[in-house]
Amino acid sequence: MQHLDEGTIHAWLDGALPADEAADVERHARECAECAVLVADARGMIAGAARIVSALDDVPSGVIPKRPAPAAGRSLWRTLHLTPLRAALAASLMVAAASLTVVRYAPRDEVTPASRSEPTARQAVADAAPVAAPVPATDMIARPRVAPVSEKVAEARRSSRSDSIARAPAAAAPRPLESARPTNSVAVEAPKVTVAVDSAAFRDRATAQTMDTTRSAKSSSVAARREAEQVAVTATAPPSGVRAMIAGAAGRSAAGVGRDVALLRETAGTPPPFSLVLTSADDRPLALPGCYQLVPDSLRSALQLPDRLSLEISTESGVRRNIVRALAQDGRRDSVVAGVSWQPTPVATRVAFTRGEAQTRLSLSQAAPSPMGRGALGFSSSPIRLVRIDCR
Amino acid sequence: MHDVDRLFREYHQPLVRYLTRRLGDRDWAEEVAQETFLRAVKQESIVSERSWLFAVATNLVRDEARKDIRRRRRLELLREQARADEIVDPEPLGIERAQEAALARKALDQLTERDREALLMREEGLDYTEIANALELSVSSVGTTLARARRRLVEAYESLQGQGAGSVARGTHAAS
Repeated sequence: MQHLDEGTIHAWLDGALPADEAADVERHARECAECAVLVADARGMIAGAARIVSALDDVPSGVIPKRPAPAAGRSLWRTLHLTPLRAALAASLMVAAASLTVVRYAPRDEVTPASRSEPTARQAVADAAPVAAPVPATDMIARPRVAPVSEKVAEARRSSRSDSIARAPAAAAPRPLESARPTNSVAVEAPKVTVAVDSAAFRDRATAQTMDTTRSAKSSSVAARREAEQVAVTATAPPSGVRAMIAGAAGRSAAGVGRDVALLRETAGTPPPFSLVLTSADDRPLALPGCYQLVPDSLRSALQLPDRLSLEISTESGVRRNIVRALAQDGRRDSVVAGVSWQPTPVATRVAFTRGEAQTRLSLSQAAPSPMGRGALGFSSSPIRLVRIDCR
Repeated sequence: MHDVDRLFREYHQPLVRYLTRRLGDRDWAEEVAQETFLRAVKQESIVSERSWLFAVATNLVRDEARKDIRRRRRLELLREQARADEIVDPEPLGIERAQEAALARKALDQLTERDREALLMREEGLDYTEIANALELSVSSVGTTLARARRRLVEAYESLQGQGAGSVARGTHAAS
């Protein structure tokens, strides 16, 4: 067989070759060192190009709404961060607080006979409230009167928040491109999720750094879908969870060589760097935030991931980050895995894990029942399974 | 007549994303996508829906680019001038991410139109046959086209990144 040309290699890696031709290419790539280097290089090109293209999604819209220029100074509404709803809420609370104060502190002898005989608003409030035993003045100071008010504040805040969410879903929702996908398309119909593993060396540090470009922009959309997806999964999947099979897609299973080797040597003595890309083969969103268990095998240990892990969106310190957290045996969320993050890629059905420069690609497929394949990291190549589990 | 709702549900999102990447403007992409779906409604039958939609959208972009290139340049100038006087809400992008997006845009612009479109379609999940149909290529040449596009994109990006790092280094040196 002649040496492989670049177009054939890309077609093979893209899974576009017929099975017999793909088998020939795979065999040749395994036997021919020269072509194996080309294959590794092509893997890097594919991964790098995908990352660069994903960075394009961070473009601002061309039409930016113009704001009226400030006249004399900032308006009081903006200065105080007031909205009509907040102002109305604040006014209501002030009235409620004032009413309660009047009711509680008003001297009994000021109540007129007429008001005693007819139920008044003040009496209604007093009757509804638990009857307090007379307490000394010092006790009254020690037991702040604002307690009921603060409860009202909390309640009002809760109701206000739920109202605003219920009333303005479109306005409140993030506006990623994925938002056009209706929620019902998120439903996971097949209980089994197949995960295909493939590895490719990252071409260099520069392209690796582009991995994070879409994290924040897309994480909100993932979060928005999360709940609906989990409901759908619960409804259709068996209690054991959605099974995920990590397996190399046909035509992508050759072990990386060439550049992969160089990367592994560079990182000798340190945990092997990796990144994973989870992809739905049928272009449907996956309920990726959630808890998983990696079935032990050689590739899992090479990835340096905990056996049980949770993909989460953290908003600690006001910064949204997609973190990976280890899970204890009982399903309790444990410590954050340092240096590892996951991110939705521009294609809504992909999520990438990042650590270091090298790349391992996992393709999640909800369509196929359980195709087995090979995952590869450097020279090692093995199947790996991922099982969705419950956690708390 | 097609099930327009289904077409829209299935293809609007990837089509808009493809167009946004292609055009660099989300609003423009939405407009072109809408026009594409309007044409789909008028179409009696579509054999390969995805490749048809992407082909029509691509042609619309090309047509509009050809027709309005002068007018658009002038509008761009005017818009830039107007922006300078406006108070705008910046998109919530970090500086690094914005820089990466700008580099990616520049790198993509260095590709030929066909390479760019093939690459963006592939990134939207179109298979080789669909790409070939949409771009009127032979299926056997799609692999070569994609290989060339990916290599040029990565090389252009790296080159631009190197230039950026060089200018930063020069700036730092000058500042010190």
